Amino acid sequence: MSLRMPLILHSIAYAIIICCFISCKNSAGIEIKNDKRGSLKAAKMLALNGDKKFSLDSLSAPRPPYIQLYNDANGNEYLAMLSGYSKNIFIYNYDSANNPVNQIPISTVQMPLAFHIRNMDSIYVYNDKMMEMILLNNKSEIVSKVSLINNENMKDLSWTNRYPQYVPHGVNAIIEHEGKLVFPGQFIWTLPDTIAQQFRFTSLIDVNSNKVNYVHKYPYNIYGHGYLWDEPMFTGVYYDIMPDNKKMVYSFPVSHDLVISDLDADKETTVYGGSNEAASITSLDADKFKKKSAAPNEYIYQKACTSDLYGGILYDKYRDVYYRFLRKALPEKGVRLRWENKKVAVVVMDKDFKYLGETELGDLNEFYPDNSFVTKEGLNVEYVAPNDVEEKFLTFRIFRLKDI
Amino acid sequence: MKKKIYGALGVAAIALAAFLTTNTSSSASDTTLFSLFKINAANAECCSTPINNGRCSSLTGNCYPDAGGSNNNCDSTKGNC
Repeated sequence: MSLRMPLILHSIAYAIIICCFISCKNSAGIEIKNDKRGSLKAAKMLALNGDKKFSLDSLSAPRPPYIQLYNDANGNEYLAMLSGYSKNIFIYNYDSANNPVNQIPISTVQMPLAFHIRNMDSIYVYNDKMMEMILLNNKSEIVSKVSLINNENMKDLSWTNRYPQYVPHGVNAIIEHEGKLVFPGQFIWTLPDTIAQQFRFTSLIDVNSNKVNYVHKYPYNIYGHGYLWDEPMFTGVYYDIMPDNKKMVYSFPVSHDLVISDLDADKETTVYGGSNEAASITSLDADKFKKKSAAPNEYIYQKACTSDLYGGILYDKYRDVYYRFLRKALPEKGVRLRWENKKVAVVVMDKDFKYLGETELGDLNEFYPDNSFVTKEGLNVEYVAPNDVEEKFLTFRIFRLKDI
Repeated sequence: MKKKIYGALGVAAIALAAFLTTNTSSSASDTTLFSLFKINAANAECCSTPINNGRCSSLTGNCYPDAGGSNNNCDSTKGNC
């Protein structure tokens, strides 16, 4: 008996220590500091350079789920817009704007959330219901389907740990690269540490063989270690292809840095791409809520409102610069915490990601930076007048770069 | 041997204290203010069914699958709502 007592006590002690480690494992969050805050010098700014208006039918509303700017074989520039409710893609001549010049019915697609027009006889539409990419011909007939989850049973949710999910935005155009569609997705909730170094979020869909490869991983120092980012707004992935057409640049909402990843090789680098004004960004703090497996919605909402969160990144081939959106933090006290009250700023960087300046456009009540693109006129950002109840137009405000 | 016992007891006491502290420290309470924070039509795509295999995003208002989630509150099966 005298010999067994210490063993029992040891066992209890070890059990308690293990419990402690389990309970503590997510408590330690991460603080992502902006080392260059306040030290960056601005030389450029964005100035308003007019509006562009595209008329909407009675079933379509501003902030459409997806848009694409594309050129036809003759070099004419078009803006295509997904109308989710009427299940049509409306096509406008960008220069003349006003009424659509064409429309593509996509009623054969159950839940269209994104598309890529190669030409009028080759239109790819992402169907969220079955997580597949559907190819339509010029009669809107289905030519082929490619599962983005390898035809796994959707009811068995284990696929969510192996394949990305998609939250498409117009600022994130589907890219065509050497016979492949580049279609980045994301992990939706907190990335479990057990898969953080294996999970790949970008789908490469071979348009000839219909094979799908998955590439590019989250930066482990930010999204690994079980750090709590329990909301798709934090785990979102914004991107653009770089001018050499070989690399992708990724903008993660909670990182002041940018990640540059090769499309054809497993190689990546990190560069600074932050705002002069953005403060430290911290992950969710498990000590703030009792149920450690899920943060309360109001805590997540408050955190999103009071954090600086980066958004889309766009390369401007006309001016050889990058634009990176920032949804600026609201103060924790003194204002009503509403997501729409966050200010939208754009950080401008040169081709080597050297800081050139940043400009505040307005707030999220009036600007919808998730629908943005670049034309020779400048940076186009969707604008919705706060008092617009008629919803007759899809409007873009155009901003042009100028010296300070 | 006594030292080992006392040592084990000491470790156990510290671990227990840390464990209790971790589990009781919570500065956030489940207030009912969420309705004030919600963005327009935030829950339009979230609905509850017997399946409830997902969680509703606070900001996008969409239901996303959450494998093994302990706080699932909506049906992520697309088109069920």
